[in-house]
Amino acid sequence: MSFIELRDVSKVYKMGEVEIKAADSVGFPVEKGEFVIIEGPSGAGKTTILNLLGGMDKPTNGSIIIDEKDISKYKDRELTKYRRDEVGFVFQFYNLIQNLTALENVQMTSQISKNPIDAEEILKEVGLGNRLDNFPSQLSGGEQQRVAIARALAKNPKLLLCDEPTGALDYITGKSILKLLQDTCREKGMTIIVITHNSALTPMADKIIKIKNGKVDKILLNESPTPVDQIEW
Amino acid sequence: MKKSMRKDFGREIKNNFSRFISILLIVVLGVAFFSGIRSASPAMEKSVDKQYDKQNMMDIRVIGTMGISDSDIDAVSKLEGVSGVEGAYSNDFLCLVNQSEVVTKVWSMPKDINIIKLISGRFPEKYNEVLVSEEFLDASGLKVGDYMTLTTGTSASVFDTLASETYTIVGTCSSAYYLNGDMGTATVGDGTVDGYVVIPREAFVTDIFSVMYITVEGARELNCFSKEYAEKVDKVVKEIEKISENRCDIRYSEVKSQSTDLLTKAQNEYTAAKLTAEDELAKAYEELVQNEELIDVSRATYEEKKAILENAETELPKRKEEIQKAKDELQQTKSIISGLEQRLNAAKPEMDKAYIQLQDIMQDPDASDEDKQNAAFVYQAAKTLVDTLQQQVNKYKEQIETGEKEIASNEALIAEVETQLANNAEIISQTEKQISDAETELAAGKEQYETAKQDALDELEDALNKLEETQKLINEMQIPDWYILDRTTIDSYRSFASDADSIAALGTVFPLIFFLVAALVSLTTMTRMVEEERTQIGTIKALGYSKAAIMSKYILYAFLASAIGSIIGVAAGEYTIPQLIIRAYTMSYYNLTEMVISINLFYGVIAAAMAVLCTCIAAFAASGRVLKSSPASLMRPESPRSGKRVLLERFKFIWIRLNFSQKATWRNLMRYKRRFFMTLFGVGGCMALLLVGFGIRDSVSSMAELQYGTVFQFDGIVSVDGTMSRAARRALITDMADIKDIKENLQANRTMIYATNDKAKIDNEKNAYLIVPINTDSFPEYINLSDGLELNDSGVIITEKYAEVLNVSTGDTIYIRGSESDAYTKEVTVSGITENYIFNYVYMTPGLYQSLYATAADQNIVFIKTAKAADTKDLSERLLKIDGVNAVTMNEDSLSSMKSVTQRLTFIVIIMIFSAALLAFVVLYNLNNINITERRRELATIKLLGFYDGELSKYVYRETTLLTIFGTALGIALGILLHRYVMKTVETDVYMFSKMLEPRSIIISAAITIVFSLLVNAVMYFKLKKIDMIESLKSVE
Repeated sequence: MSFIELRDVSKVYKMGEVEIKAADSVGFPVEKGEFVIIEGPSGAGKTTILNLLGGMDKPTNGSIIIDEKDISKYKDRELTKYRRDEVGFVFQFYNLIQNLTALENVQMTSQISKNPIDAEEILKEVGLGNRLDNFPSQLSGGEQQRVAIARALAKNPKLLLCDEPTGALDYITGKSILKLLQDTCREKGMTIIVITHNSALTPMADKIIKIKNGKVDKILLNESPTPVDQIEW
Repeated sequence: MKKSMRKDFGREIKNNFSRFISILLIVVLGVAFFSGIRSASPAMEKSVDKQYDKQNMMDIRVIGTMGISDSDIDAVSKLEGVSGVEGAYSNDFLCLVNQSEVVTKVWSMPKDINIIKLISGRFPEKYNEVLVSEEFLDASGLKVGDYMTLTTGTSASVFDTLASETYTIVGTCSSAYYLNGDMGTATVGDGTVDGYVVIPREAFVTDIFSVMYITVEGARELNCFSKEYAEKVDKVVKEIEKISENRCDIRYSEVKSQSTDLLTKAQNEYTAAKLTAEDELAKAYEELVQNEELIDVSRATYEEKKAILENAETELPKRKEEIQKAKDELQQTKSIISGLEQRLNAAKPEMDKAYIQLQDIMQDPDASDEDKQNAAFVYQAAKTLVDTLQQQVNKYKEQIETGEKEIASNEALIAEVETQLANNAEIISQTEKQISDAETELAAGKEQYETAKQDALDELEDALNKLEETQKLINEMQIPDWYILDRTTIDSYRSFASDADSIAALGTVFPLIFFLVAALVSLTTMTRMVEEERTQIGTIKALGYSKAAIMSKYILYAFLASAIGSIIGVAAGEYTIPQLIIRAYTMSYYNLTEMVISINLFYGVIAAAMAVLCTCIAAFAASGRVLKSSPASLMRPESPRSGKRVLLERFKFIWIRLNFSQKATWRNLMRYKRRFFMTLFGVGGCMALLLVGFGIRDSVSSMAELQYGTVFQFDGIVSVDGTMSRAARRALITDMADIKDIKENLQANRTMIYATNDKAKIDNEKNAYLIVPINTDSFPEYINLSDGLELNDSGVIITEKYAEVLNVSTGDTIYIRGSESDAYTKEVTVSGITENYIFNYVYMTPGLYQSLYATAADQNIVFIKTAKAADTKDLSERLLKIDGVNAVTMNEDSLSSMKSVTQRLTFIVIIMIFSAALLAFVVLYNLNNINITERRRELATIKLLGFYDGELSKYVYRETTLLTIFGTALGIALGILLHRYVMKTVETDVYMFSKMLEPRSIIISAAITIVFSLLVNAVMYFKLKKIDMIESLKSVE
């Protein structure tokens, strides 16, 4: 069994009398330490899949197995615990707490998780050793996203979920963030799932899952992923 | 406004209705409280004023110490500004019901002034019918239709004053004169009036009124609590004062001449009585003497008779002897007779024989003559013998007959004499008894005469003494005084005025808190609204709309919300709040049946204008600030405001121990200043309101407790006649000492004085009681002077509030006058200022008094200390029975009447709690609401990052909690200040409230504030739970 497995997952939203199938029998496996990119156009159902994987939402049908546990049957509190201990999130708009310094933002998660990594250490690892005491507003977008990645990694998650991590960043900064993610995957064996609409990024992934109209369109395996430096978009 | 903008405006309200409502509501709240509480006090006053007017309540009453005569009434009615004068009778009696005494004030039926209202039954029609107050029925347990009997409680007779002792209760009534059950003091019973009753005028037997009621022209139209009213009435009071001296002189000479007439009459009567008495005595004496003489005469007769009787008694045996002798003789005679009769009897047959012989012879022709002669001779001889014998017998018989007759008559005589003697003996013994009786009688008569004489003399002497006493009284008769009293001397008027004042004081302060908070709430709400529509504003601005056009939307929005809110607020507040407050007060002022609720436009307009202005300025400021930026920057998301370091971070050792949410909370507090202050003032206001509410109660109750527990160490004051002789006073003190319940006493002089700190300014003058104890050694045991103060001859000690109103401190000089003159004749140094709460006092040593007034102070009061378990009611009754005791005031009664005031204030506390709760809810709800909506993204992120609901709410609540704590702390400070301010405002010249708050009140207020805050948090919890994590993924708007 794969480390992560979605089996026949459907998510149906009811908008009055209309049923919208945001995810329609989605299924794919993700191996431990894999760098996966879920790619598709706007409205294809990427975010729904992310929500389901991240334990923010429950599927209408199907099961989501993560490290041998089916989170699709979890109750709210179990889901919260799952998010707390096992998933790291990286957002498009970083979602840092403005009133906390870089270090404090990272500590915020390390303080609540089961086996955290030292916050200062992880910030040094993402290259922000000298910006520990800066507030988000004093940091550039890339730096903020690094803080966000550090915050996600600090809890030592089983899975790192990234939602358009470069969406708000310029080209160069975006590249460095992607590199950080790729390096983290390679060096730490972290399972990373990146969601993006940008198909140009796909060569860097181990596995590419293309989503269209709420369905898995294609699953591509990349035997030799391209280092981020060599990708242009 | 362009059509599209209008549409946008309409939808703005519709879509964000809750925001519109939140501004509207806070405005309703602020305006309602402001205008409502402000209008409450005038409405209270107007209601009582109407009640007074309806019953044509007197403006001034004049009590004369020698009563009020018809000519007094005439004189007063001629004064300028007087519209009506009416004399009335009033007297205190006891009504005995089941052995308990009901102290009853008896009034004469009013005509036009102080009209009473019939509650049930009918008006009295006969002199022995009575209308009673509900209080009287409550106190006595009687009911309409029952009889009630009055007594004076002293040796005086009810009939001195009234035509009847017993009255039939025909109905119940109420009078505006007593708005509540507090009817003041009485001169009988335990000294407190339990109820009043009204009887027809003709039931009073005197023609001298005890009081005259006066109404002032044009005063009826004025609010009787207003300054104008007071001035108008004061003018007339001054007019009356002007004539009072003259009137009193007239009354004095009237009474004096009347009394002198009476005295003369009494003297004449005395003289007449004396003469009569002497005459009678003389007559009685004469009679006695006559009696004595009579007795003597009868004794003489008696003696005489007795002698005769004794004589007769000695003669009687002699007579009896004589009779016996006669009888004996008679017996002899009888025996002679019987001898003669024997011979006669013997002779008779001889004679017969002789006769026969003769006859025979005669007839016998044969008989010789001799024979015949012999026979005739024989016969003749026999016959002669018989005749002789017969003659002798007859002679003796005659003798016997006579003798017997004599004896019989003598015997009858003797028998008669004997009966007579026996009779006489009886008569004599009777006479003897009679005489001795007469003698005893005489002796008794003499004794009686002596006592009668003594009695008569004593009586005469008493009468003479009385006459002399009356003469002395007339000689010593003081010129009477008029007490000219306006409505402020009516207990219920005064307490109602002070209640209205306390509500007014509330009205000055609390609405301001609401306004401040309302302004802050609308400012934050408007700011939030403008910030939310930042992009839209940018777009519209980019489309070419002018700043004014854009701004007008927000200002109009604010205007509409606040204007509607104001209208609702004024209507609701001014209608309901005064009504609620008056209704609450009528629980204690139960005779207040009128209620005047009118929309007070003045306060309404002020409140509305303030509210509209505040919100519009807030809208203007918020939109103006945003509009400064260029459209381009407006269309970009607002750059997040940077976090700021807070002071706490300097203390690394604390800071590093805090978790992220604590850190974020501290920084948040500093970041959103408007919100910070809004909450701080809101919570602080809530706390302060509660504190003031409880504080008012604390102050009033502790005032009484401090005054009667700490300052006054004595238990009661007995007012005594100050002009009593030393002996009488000694007797009185001894009488008092006999009452076991009184442990100690101290005599003192108490006089009303007027003092000023500046001789030239009469306006500065304030009154106080001058207390001069008879000795200063034990004085501190009766009245506790502040630390280190001691009464000495160098100056006077005055009470705190008095020092304040006179604006003097230790070492200053004050100028004193008595009530009898206008000149400040005495000046003294203030040697100390002592703690005191109720009324003003000046304490002076007898030495200083002596040197100031050149005379010793009269002792007209006695401070008493009672045994712990003493029954004060019973004690008062006993004290009032002592001659010379005028009144008894027990501290316990004063304390309990203050307690009832405290209870009345509970309502204020409830208003406070209610408004504080509203304030706290509005503010905290707003804060939490803004916090949650504004930080929705942040909260969603935190939630997504795996924080439990509890942790999430803790993150949000920590801020609320901290602000609640800060607010509470601020509220304590604010509350203490406000409480001080309010108490200061409510204070009159004669009351000083304790400004101390009970720790209990602070704890309760804080607890209530925290509970409110927790409640809001609980409501917010559900809102937090609803936050959708997915929102964290959305892009910034």
